[in-house]
Amino acid sequence: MDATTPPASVERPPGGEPEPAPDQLLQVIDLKVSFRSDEGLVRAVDGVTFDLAQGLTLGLVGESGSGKSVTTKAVMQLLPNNAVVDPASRLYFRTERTAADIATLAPRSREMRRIRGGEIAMIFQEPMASFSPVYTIGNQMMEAIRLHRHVGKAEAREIAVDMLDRVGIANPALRVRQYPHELSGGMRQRAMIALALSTRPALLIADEPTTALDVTTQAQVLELLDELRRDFAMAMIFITHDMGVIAQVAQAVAVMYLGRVVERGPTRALIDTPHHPYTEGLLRAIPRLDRLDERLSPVGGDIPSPMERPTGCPFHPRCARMIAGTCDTAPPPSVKVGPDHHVDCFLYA
Amino acid sequence: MSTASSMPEPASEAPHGPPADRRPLIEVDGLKVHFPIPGKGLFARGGGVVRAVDGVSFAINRGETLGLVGESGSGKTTVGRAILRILDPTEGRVLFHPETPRAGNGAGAGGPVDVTTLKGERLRRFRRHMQLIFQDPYASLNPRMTVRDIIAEPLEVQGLLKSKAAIDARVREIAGRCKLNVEHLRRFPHAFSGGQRQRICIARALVTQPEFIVCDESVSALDVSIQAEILNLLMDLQAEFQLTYLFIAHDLSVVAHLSTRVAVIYVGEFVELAPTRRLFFQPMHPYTKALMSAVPTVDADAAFDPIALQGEIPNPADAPSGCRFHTRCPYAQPACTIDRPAWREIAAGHFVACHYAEDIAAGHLAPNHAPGVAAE
Repeated sequence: MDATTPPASVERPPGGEPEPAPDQLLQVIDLKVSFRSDEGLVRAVDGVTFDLAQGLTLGLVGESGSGKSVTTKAVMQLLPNNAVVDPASRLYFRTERTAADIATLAPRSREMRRIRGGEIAMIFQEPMASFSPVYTIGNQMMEAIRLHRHVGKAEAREIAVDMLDRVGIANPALRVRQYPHELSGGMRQRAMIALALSTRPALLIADEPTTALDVTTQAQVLELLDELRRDFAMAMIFITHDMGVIAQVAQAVAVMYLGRVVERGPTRALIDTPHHPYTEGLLRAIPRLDRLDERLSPVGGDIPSPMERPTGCPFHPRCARMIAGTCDTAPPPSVKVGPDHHVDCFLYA
Repeated sequence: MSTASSMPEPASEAPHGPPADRRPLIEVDGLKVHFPIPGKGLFARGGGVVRAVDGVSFAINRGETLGLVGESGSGKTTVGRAILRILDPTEGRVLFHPETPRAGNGAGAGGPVDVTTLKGERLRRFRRHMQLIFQDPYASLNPRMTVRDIIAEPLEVQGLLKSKAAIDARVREIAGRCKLNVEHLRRFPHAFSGGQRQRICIARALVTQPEFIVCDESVSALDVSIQAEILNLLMDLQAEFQLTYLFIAHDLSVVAHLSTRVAVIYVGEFVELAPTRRLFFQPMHPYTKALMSAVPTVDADAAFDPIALQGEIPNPADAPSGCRFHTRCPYAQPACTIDRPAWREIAAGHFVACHYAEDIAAGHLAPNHAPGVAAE
């Protein structure tokens, strides 16, 4: 987070300085984030690595405390003041207009402000979190558009109306003059998407955008997001705890557990042949309509508190296939088990 | 009993889960819960009413789980709370058939009890038979009480057991069944994880040995890996204590997994009720069809092709005329805007409120607004 830290002075992981790959939109390499607290430094994200190509959706799955929201907030440089990002973390972001390591940018720098909201936009579970209640929808959209695109007021209004129309809001010319509270829940969700996309970002981070919605509305929003992703050639990071949603929207998945990506790979491969015991457990724990008679098999034990992070593999206290003396002592190696399919587990080493 | 003929008959075969013994424990007849909307000014009246639940009738059989699904604002929570008399119904009856008449339990001498007529002390004493497990295990436990005291509280309030030793023994037994150990009982709720807290809530609900439990989104706040464990526990306890559940949730896969039969509620009215497999795989009501098609699944073979519904769920204060679903229904006909569809048994144990359910199933009625589907 501290942009003045000379990168040369930090210790590198073995293999030297990681190189940004030209074909990836975003590369997160060994991201580590801690929070200062009364009980000392608490590690929330502990060496997360994944990449995302242009125009694709990455599903980020994990339970509470897995670090999925902290990871994406680090990408947006929206972490609270008590967060400490390890200086060896790399967040390469590359578009037509940008080639930067976000980890080295100051949160309030001109470049970061251009990227945040302009090239990387974010939507949340609660649409009211994205809107101010005291300005009209149109005002707020126009403000965002004019901050990031060189257009006049009239043109910005036109873009806003077009965008509202694009996300399926009826009578957009009226809606731009309304306040957020005048819209229904489903419509607010759409307006939030319109606001986020009005700057034509290259990457949209969606943090549990459908968790609070009913299934029929969720299905509509998922379809809309996928359509917009294709039409705008935009990449997406979709955060959720719902594997079913992931299966429908994401081309690739990263499964997080206690601040680490334990498995990542193409969606179908990961769901059909999960390798990490946690991914396997998670998939078996979900009630499925095609397996109504099977008893659910829960993942035993509880998610440990981040204050009591287990040594070695973070999953070993709950893992049925734990190798004593190995899994509880050293961090597991990252093993390639298929095309673009990686798992952090001693079982495959 | 005059209402028996209008009650849903149990399924001819239990689809899965524990076999229900087909005698109703709870019979709900014409239940309505209306909330007045205050008008403007100090003494103003006539602000209208929210018809949160507007005439639902169903039975829950002994030992079965009746699932209740619907979107937010559909009235599913209100149904559960009206049965438990946490809310007072505006109209209708809720009959409770006790297993054996017990002296002084408020159930009288053997016959069914109309829960809606209970008052004061009789109602208070009756509450031990019916309990509620809430959604949020973080909000529903008093942080200043030990787990032992939390679980023992309903016993003490009801005065069911007199001696401390007897209460302790009961608490320890029920805690054990809910996979809590003696060590846990001395601690305070903050020391527990979400899954453990929900086990405490379950133990507290079961300590008075109720016959009927309403689970209102009881696993929704839990992480997936923990949720499975609580669902298994609920099923085990049901088999062990012959419990009857009304299981309310918005997650359809969870409901399917636990329920013997499932009811679908839309803007305060039941639209369909059927044995679980039938409801999920042969839905008859257009709303149920849309709901089922929208469930995202990890199953690779299942195509995800949700039926798009127009608009949003209507405001129950201003519910549409006729069939309440007609404003969004792809098959709506002129009659749907006027006539309220009857709640009828379309096949054994399969109830639906739709004028055209058979025509839609037979393909005689094409959707009005489905792009890509050619109207015949």
